[in-house]
Amino acid sequence: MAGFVLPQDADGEIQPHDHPDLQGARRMIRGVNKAMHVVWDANKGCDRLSSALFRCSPKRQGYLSFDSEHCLVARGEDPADYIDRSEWDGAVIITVEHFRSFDPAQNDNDRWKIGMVPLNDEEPPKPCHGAVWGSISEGRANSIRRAVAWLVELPGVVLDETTLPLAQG
Amino acid sequence: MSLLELHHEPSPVVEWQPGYGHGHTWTSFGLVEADIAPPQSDWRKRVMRRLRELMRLRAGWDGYCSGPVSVTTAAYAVAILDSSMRSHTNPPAIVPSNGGAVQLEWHEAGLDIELMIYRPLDAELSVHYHDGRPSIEEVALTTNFDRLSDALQELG
Repeated sequence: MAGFVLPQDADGEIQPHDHPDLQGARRMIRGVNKAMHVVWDANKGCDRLSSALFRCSPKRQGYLSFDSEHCLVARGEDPADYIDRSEWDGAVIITVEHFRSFDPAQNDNDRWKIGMVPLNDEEPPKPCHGAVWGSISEGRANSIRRAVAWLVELPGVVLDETTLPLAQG
Repeated sequence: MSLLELHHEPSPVVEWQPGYGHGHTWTSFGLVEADIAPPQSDWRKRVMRRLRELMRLRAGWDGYCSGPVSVTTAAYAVAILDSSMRSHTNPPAIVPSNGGAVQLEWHEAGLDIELMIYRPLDAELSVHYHDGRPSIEEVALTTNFDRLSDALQELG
């Protein structure tokens, strides 16, 4: 959104904020590395994503990274092509509204903040990089990973294993 | 077995050295690759191989800003497993996380066990039972891993 200034501290570090371009039906993209994020679930007899993909302990780990679909499209990028050109093997996507539905906070001050942190000094630059500031527990992270959809699918990897029957044996 | 007991039974792979003085304590961990004895169990070989891989990850391996799993966190993970695993327990899936953290996971025998290790003496255990028993959610673990051992015993 034109006119919105990213809040920064005296050192130029972007501070937690809710960005006006990350609301409602706008979507957040999280890249997936098959060798790192996929685990075998013998209970359901399937490969699936690890909750570690979405867990975040702010005091220990800072924020959770993602890319803004809206930002990519506004820059003329096809989000799926962007993932295909990246180091990721696949990517999942979820609306901001749906993501926020997993926030356990009861009042506005404690809510997860979802904003933009452009990484323009990276190689390649990531101007559409965003951040979630807030604690995402194991339980919440598992709920989120079951709720996402594929943007670029990893063949054979299940998103919501609870829809499957228990594996035999 | 707790880490304090482990100190008296040093592993051939992991050194854990507590320090005491002036009213506080500290610890140091290190992987001792030069003196690794032949692994005694399949899980240990596979865990060590995976942790070495994760310790060599390049900065930004996840497409964002994460670094490799730290040596001290990896050593703590091995110490936890040494004190909790049986020789025939299946090795966990080992997933790197941001900030040098690592998550160990078992999804079998009707249990979902997830142990997030942020750094030495800073881990959280979650266990979900498919038979309806109450879950264990993000219980802090430092030097006593009995709750993890109990859950792993159920894996058979």
